[in-house]
Amino acid sequence: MHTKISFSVLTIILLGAIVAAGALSLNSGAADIPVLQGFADIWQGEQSLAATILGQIRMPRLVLAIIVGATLGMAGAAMQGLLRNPLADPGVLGVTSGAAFGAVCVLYFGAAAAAWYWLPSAAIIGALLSLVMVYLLAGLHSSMLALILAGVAMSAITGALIAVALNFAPSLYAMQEIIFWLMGSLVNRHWDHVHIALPLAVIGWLLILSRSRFLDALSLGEESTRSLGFNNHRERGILLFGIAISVGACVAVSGSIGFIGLIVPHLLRPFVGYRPGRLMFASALGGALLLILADILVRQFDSARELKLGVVTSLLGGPFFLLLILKTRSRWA
Amino acid sequence: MLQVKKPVTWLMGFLFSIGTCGVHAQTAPQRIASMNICIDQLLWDLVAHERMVSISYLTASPMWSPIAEQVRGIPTNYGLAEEIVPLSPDLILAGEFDAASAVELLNRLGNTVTRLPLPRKLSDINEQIIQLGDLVGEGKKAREMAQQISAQVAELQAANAHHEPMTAFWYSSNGVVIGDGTLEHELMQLAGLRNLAAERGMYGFNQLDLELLLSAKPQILIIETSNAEGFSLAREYLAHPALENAGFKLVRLPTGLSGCATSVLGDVAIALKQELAK
Amino acid sequence: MMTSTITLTANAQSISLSAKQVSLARDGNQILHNADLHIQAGELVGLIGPNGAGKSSLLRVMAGLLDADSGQVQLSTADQPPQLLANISGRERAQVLAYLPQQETPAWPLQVEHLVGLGRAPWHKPMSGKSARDKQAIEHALAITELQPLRQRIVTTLSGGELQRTLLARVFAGEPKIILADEPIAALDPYHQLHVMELLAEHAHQGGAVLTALHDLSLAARFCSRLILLQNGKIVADGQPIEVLTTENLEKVYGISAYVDCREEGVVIIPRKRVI
Repeated sequence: MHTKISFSVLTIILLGAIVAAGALSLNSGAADIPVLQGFADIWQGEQSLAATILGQIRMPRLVLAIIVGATLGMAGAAMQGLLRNPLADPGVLGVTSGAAFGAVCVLYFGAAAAAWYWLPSAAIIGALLSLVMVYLLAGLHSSMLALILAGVAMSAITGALIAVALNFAPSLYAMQEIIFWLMGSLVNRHWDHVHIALPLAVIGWLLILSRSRFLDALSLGEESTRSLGFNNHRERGILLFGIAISVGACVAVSGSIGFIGLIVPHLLRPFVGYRPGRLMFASALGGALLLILADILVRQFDSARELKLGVVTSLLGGPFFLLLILKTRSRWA
Repeated sequence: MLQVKKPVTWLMGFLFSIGTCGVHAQTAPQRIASMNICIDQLLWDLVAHERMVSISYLTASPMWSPIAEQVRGIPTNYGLAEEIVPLSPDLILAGEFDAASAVELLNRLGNTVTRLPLPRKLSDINEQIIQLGDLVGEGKKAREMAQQISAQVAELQAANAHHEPMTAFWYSSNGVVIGDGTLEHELMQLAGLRNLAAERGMYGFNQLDLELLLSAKPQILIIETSNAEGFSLAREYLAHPALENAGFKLVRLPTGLSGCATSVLGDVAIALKQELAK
Repeated sequence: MMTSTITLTANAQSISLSAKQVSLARDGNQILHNADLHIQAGELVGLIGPNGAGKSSLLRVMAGLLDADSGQVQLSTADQPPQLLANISGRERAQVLAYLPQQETPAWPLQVEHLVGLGRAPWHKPMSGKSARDKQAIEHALAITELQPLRQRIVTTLSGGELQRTLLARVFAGEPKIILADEPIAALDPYHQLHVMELLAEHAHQGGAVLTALHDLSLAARFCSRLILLQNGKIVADGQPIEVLTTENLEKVYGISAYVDCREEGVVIIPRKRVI
């Protein structure tokens, strides 16, 4: 069950895979353009077709895939460490849809235009409320069953709220766009979206990663952790805040993409010796990698009818989730 | 012989003119009900407003109708027979696809409903305006309107007749490009533009990947702008930064062709002519 | 709330932990009632009493994990005057005082080594890996608990005794002076029970202090230099085992009669009959 591989080696492998996947991603797209020439054009400031497509369409999409993937992977690992439960994931527990609700409220009713930070702030607040609700419902001492039920409840509630908000939105297209908010997509995203998501995501990452030691100690249990000198409430609060900030900022620009936070930590856990602290960092890399690959896959299909990114991750993640439930069944209730 | 014929023809002529005057005076509907927002907008321009006894609820909604403020006070309907019948209208109008069950019911009750088809070609638009004008007894005014539209369209054509045809896309919400068989396509042809969507074999409305759009290197990109609408991701497609730096000319037109084409066609044609002239 | 009486000792090595007039009530029940307790260096003190006497709660209060309604807990270390436990930062407290809870199973299948290493948390500097002292402390902990052959094993594959030793090793890894343990030998076989008690005794012998809640009266009597008998939140007796385990106390508090004997190895006590 434990695989003997040093943490540095794992990190290097994942980084290398990300670079390779990134190169592949820049090569994927409906148009056939000379990628290297495009880079040269960008470097020289020339406005060629390749430069525009590469610089304005493919690059921001890749960067966003990395940011969002890393956030979701890290958030999943953090939630699993915090709740001591391998089934936790920001999508499954309704945190991403809570963020989407916040985003929808601000975007479709005109408030987002006032300043760049209204959109991500609303999404962050949505994520934080969902997170706190789940935490209150499931808590630390409750069973796995309680956690899944809390997640189901939150997902249902926030999904319905999104539908209601879109229904009353002034725009004619709003109702159809619910698919974007519930499934997520990186199509047609550009550098503005990166500027919205990146600073807040990075802040969230720092808050989360700074709690690595706490999560490691939490393996022993609540009381032991406190006896080791940690202020559990404060650590937990910072962690939840960090998750909300990073997840909120990402969902605001990409919709709620699910299951990355479930799959990636589970796959990487044996490689980090099951240590929650290291898992968060590794899952960030793994999440970025997975999302880049999924986005490449999405672009292989007929671009006239876009296959939403969240559909791909759900097709992968849904069965995965089922398998995980079956595997951990003995720990229920 | 002549002496006998003259009075007869005069009498016939006199009787005939009295008869037709009578026909005109009797058959022009005074209580017009409509279940369609586009027909409402046309009626607003054609008839005296007191003759409109019922309009579609959409016409009174600012989100959907440009004349929402002006039509306040006129009873609205949701396309239900029971809203129409009590008003005793002498002309009921509906669009091609409106309220099938209401229309059927009204017909059965003896109130015939006249359906106006959706315009699919530019020529349909003038035909419809004239048809509606005749129905409501404002044939002359309708013909004037149609004449004006034809003139505006002809201006568009004339302005660009001597140009080398330029390649263009008509880019709409959700990344949709408009191909052959549409009003937009006809306008583009009249304006002397080569519709790249049609040249790719696209018919109607199809989504086109942004990369492919850029790769086709159109010289002109037509985009519809709207002030009234709120945010939507569909409209975000038109704001992608890649469109700004791509080297083609952006032409911004008022929206509406996909809504009530009959009412805006003239404006759109003028705007297109002006934009292309820049 | 009474004013505190400060316990000072001249010995530079000494540490002590005192609870003064500690009271605690929850849901209308009085769990602790004016408990006065004091442990110091070199002592292995057993906290005994029937189920529900309040042993766990008292340990938690003394570990600083539970706030008493009234009364104080004071900690005195070699280089500091006695301080209220509440005024010491969590980290500083954790460097001196370790708590071993009753039944906390590890959430993840960690390696024994790693789990033991978690005990070094109070000493970690942020943004740094394991220091030489960390490694040394972990090695020492593994050595005294005889876990070296098991260091790479996954904790979920360990037997009850092995897991308990691992958890104890985690405590030792933190190099605490004072250890508070709640029923550390409850689910262990006799061999491992003796082993754990020996480890605790050795810790006290080396200058540390141990306060442990126990059910096994025999082992408590044998290994502990002092016993504290708790009943319904009140301390009923506090002294040497032979003084505490009187027939009267056993009958009054436990409701049993037992065979008590003083041998060379220590006090032997065997419950005989229930006294209705």
